[in-house]
Amino acid sequence: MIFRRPRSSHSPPREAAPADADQGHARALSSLFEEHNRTLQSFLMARLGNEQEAREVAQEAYVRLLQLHQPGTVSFLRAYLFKTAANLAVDRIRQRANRERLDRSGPEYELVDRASPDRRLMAAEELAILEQALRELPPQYRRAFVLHRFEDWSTAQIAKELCVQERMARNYISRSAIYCKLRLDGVPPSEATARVRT
Amino acid sequence: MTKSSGITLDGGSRSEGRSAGMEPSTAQKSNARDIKDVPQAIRAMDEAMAWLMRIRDGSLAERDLTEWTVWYESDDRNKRAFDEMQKFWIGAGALAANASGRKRIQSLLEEGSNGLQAPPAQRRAKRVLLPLAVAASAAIVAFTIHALAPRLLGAGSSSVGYPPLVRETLLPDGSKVDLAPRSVIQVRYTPTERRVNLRTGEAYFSVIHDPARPFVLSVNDLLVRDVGTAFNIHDSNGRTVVTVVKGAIDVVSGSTSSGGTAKATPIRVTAGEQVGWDRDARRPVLAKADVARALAWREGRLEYVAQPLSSVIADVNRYAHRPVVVGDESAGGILFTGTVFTRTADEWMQSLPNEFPVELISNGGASLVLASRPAGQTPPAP
Repeated sequence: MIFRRPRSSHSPPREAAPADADQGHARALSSLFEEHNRTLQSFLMARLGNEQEAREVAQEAYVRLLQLHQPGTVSFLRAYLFKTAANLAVDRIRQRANRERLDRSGPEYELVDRASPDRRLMAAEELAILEQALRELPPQYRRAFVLHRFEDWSTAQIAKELCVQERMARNYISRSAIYCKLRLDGVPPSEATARVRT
Repeated sequence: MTKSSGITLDGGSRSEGRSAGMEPSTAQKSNARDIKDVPQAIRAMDEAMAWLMRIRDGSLAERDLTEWTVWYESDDRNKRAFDEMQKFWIGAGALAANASGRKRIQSLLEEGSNGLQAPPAQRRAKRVLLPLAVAASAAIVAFTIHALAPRLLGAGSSSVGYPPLVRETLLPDGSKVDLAPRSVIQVRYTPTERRVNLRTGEAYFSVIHDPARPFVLSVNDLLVRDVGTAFNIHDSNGRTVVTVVKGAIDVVSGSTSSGGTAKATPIRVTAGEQVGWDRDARRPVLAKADVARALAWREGRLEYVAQPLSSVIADVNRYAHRPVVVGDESAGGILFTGTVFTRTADEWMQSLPNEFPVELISNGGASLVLASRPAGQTPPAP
C-alpha cells in the first residue's frame, strides 16, 4: 500500500529528511503499515469485537496519519497511529452505546455481541464443549467468567460480588478462559487443569 | 469457605514475557521442547488474557498501549496467544446468542450458587479444579453462599424467564435456604452442630430438625436455635427481624463471643410470631407476625406498613441496579406504606420524587442520593 500525503502541508519533517519530504512521509507510513498493521488490527479487534469496525477504524487512523502536517520519527508515528485508533475506537463505542440507549430507552447499555459477524462465532458443537468446560470449573471461576463475558459485569463489580480482590477476579476470568480454550482445543480436563494450575 | 482453589496467580509479568520471547540458543530435542513450551504457552495465554481484558475495558493508557504493542510484536507466540484468546472471547459470544442460550447461561450462574448440592457422580469426577466433592464428604463442611445482585436487564426485555430474584439452595443436610439478592450466608457444619451465619440481607430457612445436631443461625450477636422449623430472617438497616412460619425457635441475644457472661434466657418464638431486634436495643421484642408480608419477598414483593423510607430503601437496594443512598434524615424518616415489586425496584426509586417531597441526585457514581426537596419546589416533570 502506498500512502500519498496531501499537498497542502508545508512543514519539513523532523526526521533526517529525504529530498522529497512528502515521499519520505508516505514511505514511512508504508513501512509503518507493513510492520504494524496486524498489531493494529488485533488491537482494534480486541477493543471493538468486530472485524468490520476494526477495519474501518484502522483505515480512518491511517488517513489521519496521512494528513499530519508535521510527521515525526517512526516511533512518534507509531504511537500516534495507535493513539488515534484508540480514540476512534472509543468514539465508535460511544456511538454504539448511544444507539443502544435509544433502542432500549433504558439507563444501562451493554456492549453486546450483535456486532460480531456470525462466522466469528462458535458452532454448536464447540458451544457444547464450551458449556461443558464451564461446568467443570469451580463455581467462583465459572461465575466470574460468565458474568464478565455474558453479563458485561466489570471486574470491579465481580470482585465485589464474590468478595475477592479485583486482581483475583481478573485471575478467575483469565484462568477460566484459558481452561475453556484448552478444552476446545481438545485437551482433556485433567491435563487442562494441570496446565492452568502452573 | 473452601477457598483452596489450588490456582495461583502467575506472577509472570510482561517484562518476563518479552525475554521469554527469545529463543534459547542451545539446540534442543524436539520432545523436550514440547514439554518446555507448555508453561510458556500458558504464560503467553495468561498475559494475552490480561491484556485483552484491559483493552476491552478501555483502561489502557497511552503508555500501556505502547507496552502492549511491544509485547505483541516481540514474540510470535504472544501474537498467536493474543489472537487466539481474542477469537475465543468473541466466538464464545454465540453461547448467549438466543433465548435458549440465555437460559443456559442462567443455569451456569445458578450452578455456582449450589456448590454443595451433591453433583451427579459423573460431574463430580470432572469437578477437578476445586475439590468440592472432597469437602462435601469431610466431617466439617464450611462454605459461603452469595446471592448475586440482580442482573442488568435491558429495558426492553420482559421479565419472563429472567433471573429468579430468590436463590434457592439446598444445604448439605437437606435443609433449604432461599436467599434474597446481595445476601450472604456462611455455612459451617460439624458433626455436632449446623452453624449458619447471615452476614447480610434476607433469607428464608426451612430446617430439617435433628436434635443431635442442632441448627444454629447467628446474625450479628443474635443466636437463633431451631426447634424444628421454617423461619424468615431479615437483617437490614440496623434491625434484625426473625419471623417463624412453622415450628418454633429459641432466640438468644447478647455477645456470642464473650463466652457465657450474662447469658440471657432464650426467648421461645413460635409459628406466627416474630421477634424484632434493633442494634441498640437491649433485647429482642416479641410480636405477632404478618407471615405473608414477611415472606412476600420470595414472590417478588416487599410490603410495608408505615416503615421509614430509610429501611425500605435499604431493602429495595438489594434488588436495584443503581442503589440509592439516603442523604438526609428527614427524607429517610418519611413513612412509607405500600408494596414494592422487586423486579421494578429501580423504577420504584425513580418514582419517589413524584410521591414524596424528595429528590434524587446523581452523585456521579454508581448510586443516587435521596434528599429532601426544598420547600416550594415542584417535582421534576417525568
